[in-house]
Amino acid sequence: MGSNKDFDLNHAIHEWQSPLRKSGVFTEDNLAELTDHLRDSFEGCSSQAASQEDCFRQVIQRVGPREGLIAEYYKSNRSILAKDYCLYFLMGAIGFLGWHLLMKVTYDIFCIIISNLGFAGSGLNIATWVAAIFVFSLFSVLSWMVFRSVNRPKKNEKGRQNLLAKRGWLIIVGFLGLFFLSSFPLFPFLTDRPTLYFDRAYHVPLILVFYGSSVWWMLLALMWATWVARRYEHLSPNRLLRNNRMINFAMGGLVPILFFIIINQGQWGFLHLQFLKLEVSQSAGNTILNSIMIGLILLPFALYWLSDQFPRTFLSDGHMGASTRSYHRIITINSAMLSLFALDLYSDYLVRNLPIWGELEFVRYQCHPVLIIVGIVVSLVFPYIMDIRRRGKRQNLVVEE
Amino acid sequence: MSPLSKDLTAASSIPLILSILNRGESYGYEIINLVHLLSDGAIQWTDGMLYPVLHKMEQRGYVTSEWKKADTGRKRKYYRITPKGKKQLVKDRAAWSLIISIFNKVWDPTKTSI
Repeated sequence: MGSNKDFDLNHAIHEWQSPLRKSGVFTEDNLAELTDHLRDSFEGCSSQAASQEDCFRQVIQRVGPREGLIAEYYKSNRSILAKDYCLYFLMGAIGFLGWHLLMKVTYDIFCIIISNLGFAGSGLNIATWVAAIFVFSLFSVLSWMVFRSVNRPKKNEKGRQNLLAKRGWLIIVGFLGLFFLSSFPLFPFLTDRPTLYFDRAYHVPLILVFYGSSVWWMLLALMWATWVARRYEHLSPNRLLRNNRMINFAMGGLVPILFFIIINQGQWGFLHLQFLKLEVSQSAGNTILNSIMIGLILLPFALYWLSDQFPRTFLSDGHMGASTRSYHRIITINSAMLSLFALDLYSDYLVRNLPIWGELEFVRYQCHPVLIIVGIVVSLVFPYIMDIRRRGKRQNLVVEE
Repeated sequence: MSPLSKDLTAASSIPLILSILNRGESYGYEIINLVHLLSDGAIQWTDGMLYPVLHKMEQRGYVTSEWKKADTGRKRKYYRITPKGKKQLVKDRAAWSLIISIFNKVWDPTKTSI
């Protein structure tokens, strides 16, 4: 006989619901309906079961496994979630535009101030750094304030508060990750621009510092990707995705980051080779970058194909998945930023009437903008396609444990 | 009676729910119990999986839902069939009747040729 005295039904329901709530797949209405069902079911069995704990266990078993519930609710809430993604896309776009605007304004202000202070020649570069540090500090403070405000408990809004807290946290982490990556190219500009490309002896130590620092930034980026995957691993509605460490890691955060690195940093890598007198021609550089980009676009397809061919090798109990609503949100925010970034690059080519392929007068190695857009579309759409393909659209009424 | 296959359970779910709601408004727990009772336990739905189906039916306009205070004092979500749901039920009924009549003919031992 169980200890009926100690059993708290409200607490038990709350504990059971917690992962469902965190998955972001359920609305408050869905959860209230499930709670009502649990209570009805509990009342129905408590007269027959040996103890209340046993009764609750039976009720939970009848309701079905949580991962199955997440998967089924995900299917029925798909249209609601799609609207949500539009909002996140907009948020990412506004974030990107806001960041650029802030950088531009602070940069111009510091240019004026520093040139008036008499730092001729290197003034612009100092301004870049001061602006970057200032914007980053400002951004950190603002992020902290937003995070604090969304985390503050509100009366009768427990669920809403949790959702907002998670959303705020995701935005902050997303922005920080992208900030670190976008900081790479600023390192060589510690010195005067005119000597940057020609004075090998002067720049080798700087290049080493650049790559040394890049390792640190890369580590941060990897930590971010890992955090994205780990944070939501247990919530993935797709068993195969959830159990597939490599695919989830790649899709959950690494691919968007690699896209960004290739797009943004590729050109700097080739410039640095030029400093070291290891010049790569413009067309060869473009070909290499484009090939890497194509490889990245094909990577998820290849991983999925491999997982189909060798399920035993790829499936593991070490969860690291992220095929959840939150994962899609991150991908959506990233994609919005990358889309604008691609448009920015493309407009740059158009304004200066530069050919996208072949030798350019201005030294610039770049991915083809079309490839960037394909990459974005793949990273945005691919998880949905795989989701539908693997799990089907039809609702299941029977779920085996 | 042995449990119905997963595919047949899924295929019959919407007509079955519509038929139950056609008799009057109801809620998830009651629908599940009724189905269990009517099928002598042959149809075993996983309780939690009924609600996504009801939500999908609501999105399609077959049913509407409303939170009401139940006898227990708790709030409960009741589902009601809509005119569109009734039309769908007529179609489903015709389709299932056709299938049943085909099976009856095929399985009739008195008929040697079809």
